[in-house]
Amino acid sequence: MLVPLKGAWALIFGVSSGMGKETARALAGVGCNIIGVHFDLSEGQQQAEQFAQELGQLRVEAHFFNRNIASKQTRAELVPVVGDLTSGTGPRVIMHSVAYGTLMPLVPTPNGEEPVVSEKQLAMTVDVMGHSLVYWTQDLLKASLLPRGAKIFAMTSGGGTRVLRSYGPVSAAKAVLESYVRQLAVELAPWGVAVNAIRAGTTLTPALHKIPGSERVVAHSREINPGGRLTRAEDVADAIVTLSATDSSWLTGNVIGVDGGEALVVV
Amino acid sequence: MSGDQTAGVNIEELRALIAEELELPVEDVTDEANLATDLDVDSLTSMEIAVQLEKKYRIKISDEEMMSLTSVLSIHRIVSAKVETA
Repeated sequence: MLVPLKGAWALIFGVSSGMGKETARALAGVGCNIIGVHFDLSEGQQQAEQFAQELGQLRVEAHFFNRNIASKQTRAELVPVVGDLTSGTGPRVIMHSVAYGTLMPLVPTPNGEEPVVSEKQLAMTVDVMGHSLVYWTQDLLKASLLPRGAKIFAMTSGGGTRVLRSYGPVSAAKAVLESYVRQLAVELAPWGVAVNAIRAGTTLTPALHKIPGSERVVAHSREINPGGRLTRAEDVADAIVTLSATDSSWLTGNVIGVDGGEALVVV
Repeated sequence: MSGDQTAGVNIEELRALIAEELELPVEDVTDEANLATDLDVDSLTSMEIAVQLEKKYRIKISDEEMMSLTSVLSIHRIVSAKVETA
């Protein structure tokens, strides 16, 4: 059944930029309160604080926390805060939009000049961008903060099943994330909580610009996207708002493409 | 270990902050040990260190300056310079 988001709460990891930011804006626009977590240096923190104030002008509450989401201490600190802010109900929407990892090849080229990913960097990338989804879900569930009808959205990418040089560690993290989405969808079904991955098309975000070779990906996507343009973060935000406006948990365990049909096209 | 203190930035306090973030004994965090290659610090931990430095010394560190936070000595130089000009 359709249930308005007005007065509900969303917990967004990666709220300070890209898809997390636009989804926060779209949810706030329909009256959903926002708890946001991001990890930025002071300039980014100031911008995030300003954004939180902008959301406040939409007559919702917006509470942002500058913390490392992969840290156990962060979860220990923030899960009770989530409980307090949501009056013990928990968030209706949880968005995992975390882009923090190492972008390096797995092995060297024959001339052997460029550095390759280390064991620690690979583990860190998969931990932050993959395992953290499970740890937060576990802790929120343990604190009874995953209400029936809650929706968990994890941001994946085409890179989870395709290859781009230097994207290997993140690709592994996305594969892990998608597997966890399927597993959590089944395990959370008795709790009435839906879990889906959103696979956006090529989107101009700060995270995309950090990927070596991204300009070629952008050029190719611009050329082939059936909609005649690149995906925008707002497209993802619209999809999440739409999918969240129900108490049904029956749409679950999917990798949902929000890309204007881009992934369907070869050339 | 040096008891150097420059512009109010005590290098031993700085070393203790870094050691705490790395979860290493203070004596392992020597002046010139490279955080990445000698102490196996990844970029996320470097970010944790930078955020703590900003908070403790009330300074701003840019994304570009993050690349120069490579050892206790280099961090001490950068933080001291920022504290002096603050």
